[in-house]
Amino acid sequence: MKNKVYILVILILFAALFATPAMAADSKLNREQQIKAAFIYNFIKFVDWPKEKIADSNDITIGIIGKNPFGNAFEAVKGKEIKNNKLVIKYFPQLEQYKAKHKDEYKDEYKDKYQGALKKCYILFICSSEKEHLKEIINFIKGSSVLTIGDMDGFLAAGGVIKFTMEEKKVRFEINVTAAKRAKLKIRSQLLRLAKRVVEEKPPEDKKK
Amino acid sequence: MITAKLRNMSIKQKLTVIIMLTSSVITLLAVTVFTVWAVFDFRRHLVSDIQTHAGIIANNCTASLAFSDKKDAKQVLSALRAEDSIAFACIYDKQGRVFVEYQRGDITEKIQPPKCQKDNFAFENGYLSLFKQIYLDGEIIGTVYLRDDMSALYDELVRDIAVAIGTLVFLLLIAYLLSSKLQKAVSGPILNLAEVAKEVSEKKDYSTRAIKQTNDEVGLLINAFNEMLEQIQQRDLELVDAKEQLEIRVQQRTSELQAAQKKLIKTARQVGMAETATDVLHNVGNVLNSVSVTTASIRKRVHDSKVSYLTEVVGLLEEHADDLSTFMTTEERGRKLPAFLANLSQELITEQERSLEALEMLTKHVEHMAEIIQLQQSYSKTTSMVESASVVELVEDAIRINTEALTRHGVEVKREFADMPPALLDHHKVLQILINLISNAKYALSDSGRDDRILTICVKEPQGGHFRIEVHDNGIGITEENFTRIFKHGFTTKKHGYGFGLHSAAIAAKEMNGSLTAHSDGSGKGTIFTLELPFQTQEAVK
Repeated sequence: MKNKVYILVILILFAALFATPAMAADSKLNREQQIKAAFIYNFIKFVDWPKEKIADSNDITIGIIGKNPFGNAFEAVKGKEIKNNKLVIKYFPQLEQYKAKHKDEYKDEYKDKYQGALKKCYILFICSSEKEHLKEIINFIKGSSVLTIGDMDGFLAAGGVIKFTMEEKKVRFEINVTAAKRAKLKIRSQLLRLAKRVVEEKPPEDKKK
Repeated sequence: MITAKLRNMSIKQKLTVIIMLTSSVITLLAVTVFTVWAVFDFRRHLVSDIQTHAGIIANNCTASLAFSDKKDAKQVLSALRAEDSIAFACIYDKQGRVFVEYQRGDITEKIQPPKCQKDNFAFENGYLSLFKQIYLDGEIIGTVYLRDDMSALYDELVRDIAVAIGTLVFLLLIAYLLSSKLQKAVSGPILNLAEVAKEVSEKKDYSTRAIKQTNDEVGLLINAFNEMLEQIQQRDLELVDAKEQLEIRVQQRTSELQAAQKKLIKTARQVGMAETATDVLHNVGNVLNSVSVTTASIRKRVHDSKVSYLTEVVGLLEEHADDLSTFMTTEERGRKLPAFLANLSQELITEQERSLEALEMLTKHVEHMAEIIQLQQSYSKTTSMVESASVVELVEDAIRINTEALTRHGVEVKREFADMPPALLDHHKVLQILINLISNAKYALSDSGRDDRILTICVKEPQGGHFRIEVHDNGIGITEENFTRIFKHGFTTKKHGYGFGLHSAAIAAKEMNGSLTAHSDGSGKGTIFTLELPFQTQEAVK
């Protein structure tokens, strides 16, 4: 536990290191990220996860993989009770970095560990830094009911569920219901109504089939 | 006030008023209660309605709020267009800032959203304000505000009241029709009874009967009324009968009384006259007594008259007719004859004088008698005669009638007469009274047995239109117990009296508008009778 906290603190500091100049440079960007963080938090309330997922884990984990653009935006909601569960925020390093770091020991075992941690997440925000590994990451969590969120282009086509977009300087989102269905996620109609675009994008694998 | 007005109404009106008043008050109350209930019910429903709306909106805009999608939130609110009564709505965010608002199209003026509140509702200024907080996963993420202008309520109220008034009028009309029909059941028999009662009292025809129509209290009343009428009729008949009989009896009694009165008057007059006559006759008797005494003395005188001596002388002279001169000169008897004749003539003259005297007395007595009888005759006329006469002469007449008796009883008469002009008087009545009073006084004096029997008659000067004649005596007087009875009919102290004298005297005095009063200091202290009469002179009458 202590370890985790330690790692977290380091990660936050690390993130802050990156975030600070950005914040200083543009507060608008910061505001955009804050809204996105709030949206991510609110998505939990409009999405129902399958029972197996809830039975598997008591904590509702939001995972952020790649270069964290949110800074400390999630700190406010961290540990908060949501849907009668504790909210946990997990930051995953960039897949590239991870791979580089564990180059020598990149084995199935390690891969499973990494993959397992990702699979436990309720929501996984895939940062823009992971664009190259997007399909890989989505593949990692396939079949474990993880709500994938991202803001890079082609995110939905790649099998992501919710993609942030900007419209008239406002944060909006698009939903891929096929991906959601595949992940056994039930997205409430209210949320669907709010979506700028609802698509039924099939993942590339399916297309191949 | 209502009761006072009711009092003057007919039963028919009263019944109508009572029924109409009752039904209208009840209907009005019912309408009022229902209206009030409707208002409350409507409000309750309105609140629950608006709450439901607010709930739906709250539910629908959670996502909009969560993802600050104003467009979506506006769309949610625009659903309220279907609700005519909602004038204004808005959604506040978590911080209480207005997120989106909605205003009904027909309202041109911009409505300022109120300050955000917790769950609450209030009726104010004719609208309902309702706040409902929006929850998301147990967390308040905003508030919905709805304002209902309750136009529907007013529309409904107006409609309800219109219906109520219409119903009221309709019900009252029915109530009036019903009451005017049904009241006859109550008022009909009463009115009929009143009609009959009026008829009875107006025509006094107690043979009329009210017809019993119902078996209720009015029926009982009619029965009682008829029974009463019967009794009255019975009594009326009896009364008429009794009245007739009474009239007959009264007539009988009246005629009897009239006859008795006539008889009585006649008797009274007769008795009065008899009494007066008795007095008069008594006086006449007294005088007659003197007459007989005088006659007897005359007779004796005539009987003892010396005239017979003359006859003897004549015989002697005839015997000696031839030798008369011889006889006269020679004979003893002849010689004494002239002296005897002279003596005789002297005697005869004396005798004649005495006889004349006696005859004169007799004549006087007879004249007195004649006078008394004449007086009585002149006074005893039944019709009263009012003539101017000297009171003193009248008194003297009365005394004169009684003179003999008074003299015989040794009564001294004193006269105290004041100067008085002739007065208008009923002679007979006054004389009758005076004779009676003098006669009474005479008896009173005689019975007293005293030596100085004094009868004083006073004629007093007129005073205040009246004059008085007082008859005083110092006789036996009147005892206190007799005092009240002396003027009563049939009371007397005399042995042979009728007890009518004073009674008729008093009546006579009264008839002349005068009075007769008696005064006595008691037994043996004398009596004063006072006759007071109105004083009228011939001149004054003229």
